[in-house]
Amino acid sequence: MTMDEPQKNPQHTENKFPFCALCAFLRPVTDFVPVLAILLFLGALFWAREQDPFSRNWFTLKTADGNAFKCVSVLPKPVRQCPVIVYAHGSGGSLMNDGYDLRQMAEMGLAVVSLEYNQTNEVAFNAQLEALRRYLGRQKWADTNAVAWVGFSLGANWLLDFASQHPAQPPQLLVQLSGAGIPEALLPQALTQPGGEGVTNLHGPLLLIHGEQDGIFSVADTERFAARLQTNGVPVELKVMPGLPHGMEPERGVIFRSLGEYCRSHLQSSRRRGGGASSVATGGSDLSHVDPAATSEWWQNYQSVSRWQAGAPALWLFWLPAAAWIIGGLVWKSRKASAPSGQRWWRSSNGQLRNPCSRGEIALRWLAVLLAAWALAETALHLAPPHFSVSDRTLALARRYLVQSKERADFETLAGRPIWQEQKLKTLLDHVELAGYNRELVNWQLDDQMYRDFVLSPVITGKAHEQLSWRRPLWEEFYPRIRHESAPEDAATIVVRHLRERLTVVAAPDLPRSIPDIWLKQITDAAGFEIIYVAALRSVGVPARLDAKGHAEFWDGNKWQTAPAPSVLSW
Amino acid sequence: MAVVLALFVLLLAMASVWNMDAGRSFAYHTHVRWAGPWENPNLFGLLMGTGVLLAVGTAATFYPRFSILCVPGAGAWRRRVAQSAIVIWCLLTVMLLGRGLLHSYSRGAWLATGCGGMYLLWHWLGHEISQIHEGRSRISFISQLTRNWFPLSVILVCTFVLGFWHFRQTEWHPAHRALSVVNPVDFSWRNRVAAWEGGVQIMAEHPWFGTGWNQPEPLYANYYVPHKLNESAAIEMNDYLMLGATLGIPALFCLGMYLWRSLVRSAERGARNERRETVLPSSTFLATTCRAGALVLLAGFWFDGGLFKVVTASSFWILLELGNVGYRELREMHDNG
Repeated sequence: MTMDEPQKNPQHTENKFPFCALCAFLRPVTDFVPVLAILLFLGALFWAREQDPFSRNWFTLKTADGNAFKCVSVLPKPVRQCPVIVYAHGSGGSLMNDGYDLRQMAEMGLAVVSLEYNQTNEVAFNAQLEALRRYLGRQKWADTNAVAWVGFSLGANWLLDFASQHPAQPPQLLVQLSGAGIPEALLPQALTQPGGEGVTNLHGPLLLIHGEQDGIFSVADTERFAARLQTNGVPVELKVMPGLPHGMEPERGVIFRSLGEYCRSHLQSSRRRGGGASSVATGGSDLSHVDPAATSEWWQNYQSVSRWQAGAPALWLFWLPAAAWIIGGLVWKSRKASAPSGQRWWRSSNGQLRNPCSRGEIALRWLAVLLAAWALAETALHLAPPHFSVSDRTLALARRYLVQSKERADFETLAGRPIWQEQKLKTLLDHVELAGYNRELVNWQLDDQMYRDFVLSPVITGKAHEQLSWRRPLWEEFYPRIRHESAPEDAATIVVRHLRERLTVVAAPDLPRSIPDIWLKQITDAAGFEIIYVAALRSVGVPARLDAKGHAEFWDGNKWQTAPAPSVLSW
Repeated sequence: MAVVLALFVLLLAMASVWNMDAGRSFAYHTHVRWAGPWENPNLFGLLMGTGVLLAVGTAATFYPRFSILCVPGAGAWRRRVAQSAIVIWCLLTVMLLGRGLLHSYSRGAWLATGCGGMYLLWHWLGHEISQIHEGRSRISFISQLTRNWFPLSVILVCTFVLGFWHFRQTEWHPAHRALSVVNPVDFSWRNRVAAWEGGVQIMAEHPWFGTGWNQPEPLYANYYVPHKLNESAAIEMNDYLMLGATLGIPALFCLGMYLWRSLVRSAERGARNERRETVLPSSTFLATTCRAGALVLLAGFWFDGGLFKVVTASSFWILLELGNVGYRELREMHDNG
């Protein structure tokens, strides 16, 4: 520590260690500020690590013939044994670009591994996949009794080929996204050879997902392929995605999340049954055979990313060593400064302590005290009341200090509703502030009545004890995505897509139904999805409500219409 | 050194009035953000902030009351006229550059300029305080300032807090822009904070050698960006985290040590040598000015980047090295008796 460091001749110091440039370079490490910076940095480093819901591991494997290739695994935290997805991207894909897809699947509690495979040589790909399988067999986190292979386009085709060529080591689930299927030209061959295209060796189960507008591999080929597999008794499911192209954009995020959910449900059942190899061999693996008890239990305890981050320790805990260092430094400095001088206070002739301050200085200090008190009071008035419950007194405080004049009418409208019992004032203020601010920003106009009833209002279901504190997180999530849209319809399409990318929809008991809970746990059932859908639409300024059947509907400027459905609600 | 600084300030002053209508792609509400000859108003703001401090420092160096060049005797009046002309020119430049800084609407540049200004002020006060201890101070309010620094600081902070609560809804755009850093609905700073977190997470997973050049951006965009963000470019705005993520924590540590040594150690050496002088030596103060300019860029690299951009990086390294030159001169004088 060199605060008020005694004077030294720098030359003398440098001559002491002329031979050691490193010592001279590292000497500042003992200074106060560098140590503080290092402590802050390390605190932030450990905090960020704790906040991170995934562990990513980049590694290189070698095939039997010595060729190296790169892989990445994305593991959900806490790292423990879990089902595995092996993912092979399409032609032109790379490990770097796989990240979003891998994270979408890993959010389902699955270890996801992708490989940078040779895209020009299928034999090399087979060797690489074999090496990866061997590697997975050695990992503690990999449950080798619950493995799914997911391939996209070229990756899908080659994974299928590998599975048909190695029937003794099948995955528990094989998923083809935008795969080739059976082209019409090869149909005669497929029909004449029993199970043509290697289909005879497949025992399934298989999931085929194909975009209706796929311009590279026709959906008809995949339908043909699925039919052929079914003829051969292979359990197969085909999901045709209406209107989607080969790359599955813009619904790719939804598809990968849904795919993750599907794999999770099926692999969970596989784990319960004690592994897939035997079950496949006995023909026990069936796509329709999902153990409802096992999957329900798992979904009820689903650990979402938001939940993980909400449960992570706060940053200030990691900065305690830095705070201790600052306090220690200040104590050390004040002791050093106050030791001998006694310049500010001294004893008068009668032995009493005298203050040497002039009147001007005393006035200055009083001014500082008064201003500090005023600033503290003002700060407390702005920061404390929002944390109190709504009452006449807190409402009066809010009117006087917290609500801007342009928000006053909305505030009075909301405050007048009998819905604020046991609610925090902050919730009310958030609704008023954000709804009003959003109304200024969006590119469509609403009349006041429509705005107040179906945008500003936090009540969605009207049930007693409905939790109302949902606007801020939803607005922060959805507004940046719709900011350039000019019509409520377009905004609704974006909202439902992103909502489905972030939420799992399953049929299981005891799933959250209140909006803050759904958003935190990132899981709900179909009815809960409709509720949060309405809230999300309102958060971005689209008037919305639940219809008589509990489905979301929105106001398009002329009439109420059913809100767009997600491309996949649940598989 | 004075010539180099004067040229640098002149170039920046020219840049501040360069083609102001060109940078229409950046706007803050209805106001065009000036970008000068560059494409990015943040870079422009940083350079304007640097220029402001360099001009202020140069003006202070040549201000006749303080300057070591003010020696009585033959030709002193001519020298004084020349000094006054320099000071007036510098102050005009400050106005031009300050205007550019304001119209850049770059919060990072404003804050960085504040940091550099504090450094310059701190150094000047430190010198004056040392003169007081030796009974040689020429400025009377310094002793009052040192006696009452605490209540004055409290008054300053409280004024800021009160100003914030009373004017946070102001429609005056510069103030609105400055206060947006505490606005919870401002996505700009939230994206940056999220990117900082992502950058630190990348470093935590690749601590020793980093991820390699040009890797952190796609890595962040694909593997680390929080789902609630719909853009990932903010990670490129913090050069320190980018460097740590690219080359690893040891490389970041080395850069930090080098900067610390350059900025602080040389300043300490200079301060020790200065105590032997009766007035603030011009070369020392010019060196301090250079370091203040470097500090502006250094702070700006945290918020807006620039360490890997030619215009800001070259300015930064030149100023950092010039910051050491003055002390080397003093040291040589001292060594030569």
